[in-house]
Amino acid sequence: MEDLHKFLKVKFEVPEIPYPGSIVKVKIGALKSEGGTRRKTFIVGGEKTFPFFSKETNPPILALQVLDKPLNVPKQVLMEIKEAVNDPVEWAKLCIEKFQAEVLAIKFISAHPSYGVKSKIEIKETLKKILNDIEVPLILCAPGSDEKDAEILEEAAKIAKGEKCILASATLTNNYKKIVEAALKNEHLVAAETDCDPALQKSLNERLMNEGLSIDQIVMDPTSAALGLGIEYSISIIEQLKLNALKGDEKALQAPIACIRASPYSLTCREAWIEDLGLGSPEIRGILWESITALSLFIAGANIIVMMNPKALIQLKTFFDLGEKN
Amino acid sequence: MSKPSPIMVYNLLPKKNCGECKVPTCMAFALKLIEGEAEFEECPYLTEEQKIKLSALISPPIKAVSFGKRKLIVGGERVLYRHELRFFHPTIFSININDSLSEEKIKEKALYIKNFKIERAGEKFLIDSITVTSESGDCEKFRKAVRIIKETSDLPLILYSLNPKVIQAGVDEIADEKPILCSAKIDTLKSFIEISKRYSCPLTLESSDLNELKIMAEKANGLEVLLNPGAPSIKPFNLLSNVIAIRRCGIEFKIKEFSHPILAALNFIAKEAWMEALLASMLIIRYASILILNLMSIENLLPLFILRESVYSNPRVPATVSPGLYEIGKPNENSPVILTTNYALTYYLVTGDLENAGINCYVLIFDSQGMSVLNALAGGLLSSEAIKKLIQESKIEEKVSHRKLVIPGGIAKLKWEIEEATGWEVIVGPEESSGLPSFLKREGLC
Repeated sequence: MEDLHKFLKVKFEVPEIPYPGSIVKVKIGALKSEGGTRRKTFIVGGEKTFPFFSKETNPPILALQVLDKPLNVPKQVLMEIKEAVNDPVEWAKLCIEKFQAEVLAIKFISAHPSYGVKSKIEIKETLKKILNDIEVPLILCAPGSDEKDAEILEEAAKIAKGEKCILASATLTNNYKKIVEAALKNEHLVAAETDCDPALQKSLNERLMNEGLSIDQIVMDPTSAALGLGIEYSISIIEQLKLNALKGDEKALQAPIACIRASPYSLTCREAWIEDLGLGSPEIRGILWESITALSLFIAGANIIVMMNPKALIQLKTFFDLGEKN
Repeated sequence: MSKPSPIMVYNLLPKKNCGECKVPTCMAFALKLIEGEAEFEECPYLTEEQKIKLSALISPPIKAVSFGKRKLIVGGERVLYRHELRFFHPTIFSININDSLSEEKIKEKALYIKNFKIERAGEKFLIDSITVTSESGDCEKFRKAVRIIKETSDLPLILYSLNPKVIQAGVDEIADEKPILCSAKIDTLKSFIEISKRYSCPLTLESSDLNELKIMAEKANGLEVLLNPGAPSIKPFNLLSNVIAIRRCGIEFKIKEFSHPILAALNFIAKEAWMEALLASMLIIRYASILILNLMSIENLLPLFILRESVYSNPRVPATVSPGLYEIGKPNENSPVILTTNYALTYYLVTGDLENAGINCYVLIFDSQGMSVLNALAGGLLSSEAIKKLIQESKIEEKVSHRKLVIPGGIAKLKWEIEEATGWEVIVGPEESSGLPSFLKREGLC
């Protein structure tokens, strides 16, 4: 058996059968020269396979989310942002300057009917200041109410005209037509939100395209399930959508995936926050909970991941830096 | 994924429909075999020839390997993506103990691992295995460490050393317990194969070079083999790429040498606990059958246990919790009573939202067979009679002095029916569980 070394000159290459399709490239954010005011933009998508299946794997774009009003902010997040929680602009600045998020998501939670409606003027003011003080691309998140979503996104879209923000989100039950119209008129992208169902996702994407969007103006947010709350559904829906897109026969599913809801949701899982001596340090657990959720979404194929706990984002970024090294 | 047709499998069965395999007909048994839900050994009437043919037809592309006294099975996988069928044998967490520790410390660690237990909604999470690593390189020290661990716990063991003499000393201590031998490199392969044959133990082959691994697997043909595609100095993401490449070669390209379960020794690769946990989570989703970990603390292991349980759950069977009465916080006789289904996601959402808001209450979990509220209603499972029975069996009437039941908004139309059947006042709650805490407060129920 001493002669085994002589075989070693050959390098083993994994056989490759390239998929016929690929994920569409979508550009987020617009520079000054492109009609916006962002200092940086990102192109997501373009991949032909799953992460780590081929030699090149791009890490995901990691965003942090702020709320325009501090409603139900998880304790873990509060510990990091402290007083800034009361001022969405200060909170946003921390996310970008201190915690190095690549994209900022702002959720207009105050417009949700169950929290009493904040005046549109306040929302406008907040967004104007954020556009002025923050230079990364933005995801504008509606409150998640069928009656309010379109109205709020329409307002926000107008103020951020030309910035190529992601309007989040069009759903099968809200006024998606109005959202698409606002995106087209003001040069934005649209997130198409469904819950773990490839058929519904396809149907929604097709409807958005019928309203005039092209596939490179859409990102998909197909799940809200986090670790401990059905992460397996998230993994499987993303893998199914990716496979359908890569096999090339579902053009309407070739949009990149932006997980906007799942990672922040991880902080609501009981085990992520509970102070129970039997479960060890809640701080370590909480950070890990969100970074493992986000990492799972990425491994399955998500291109953009919105997170909530700055420490989890930092952990994940460090992990992607170290993963390349010994 | 290519599956054989049921008729091809059926034709190799005795067609007696005797039911001795506990499946009523041979056709139904054939379907189960194809789905990997039954083993052909369960049929007592197969000839050797039929067995060989069946095995070629339905054996999983990734071989199964068993180890330890209790014959823990790893591998036996059939698909790259869980939605295509399911993943079968959950990733084993094997916690590492170095032989250079003092005897007391070794015993203490082994005891901690043995007694480790976390419970979640009736589910128990236990550590599956212990790895003994020779740090000293000393045969006697290794032998002693193995002995102490064997005397402390009966968990299946993995013996780790690159020196075959050390492994020989260790395996000699537990000759009849089928530990996994870890790891042969190309220069020590011959001696390792001899030991593996002598003691009938599974052998791990180690190299970060896939070509080298393939040559070694060819030589180890006929043994129970595991592949460890990362030497201690490998970059974490290269390890991940190797693991994925091996599994794709095994399943997509049917390359025989790569059709073995994969072992990854993260204890050597990750420098810090959080990093080990993140790397482990990627490898749970992507194909590792065994992870050797340094991690011991609950806050690091709990998310990994939950991720593993999720990834290895059967996508065709909805996750459920046991029906019955659950307490949130410290409820008393005035606390509200909330009804929902036993679909695990519903349960975690509802109880999580209530707990998060610090509400003390009772939750009555209805047996919807894992369906969500709306599906259970549509499927006729959620009826006033069934709720009456649940109220009686749970003895909730002995725990609270009021008779007010909060039901999910989605089943509002059952309000009158339930009131008539149970005599309870029914309060229609919100459709989303996130609205529940504020609803209870608004209604003055807590």
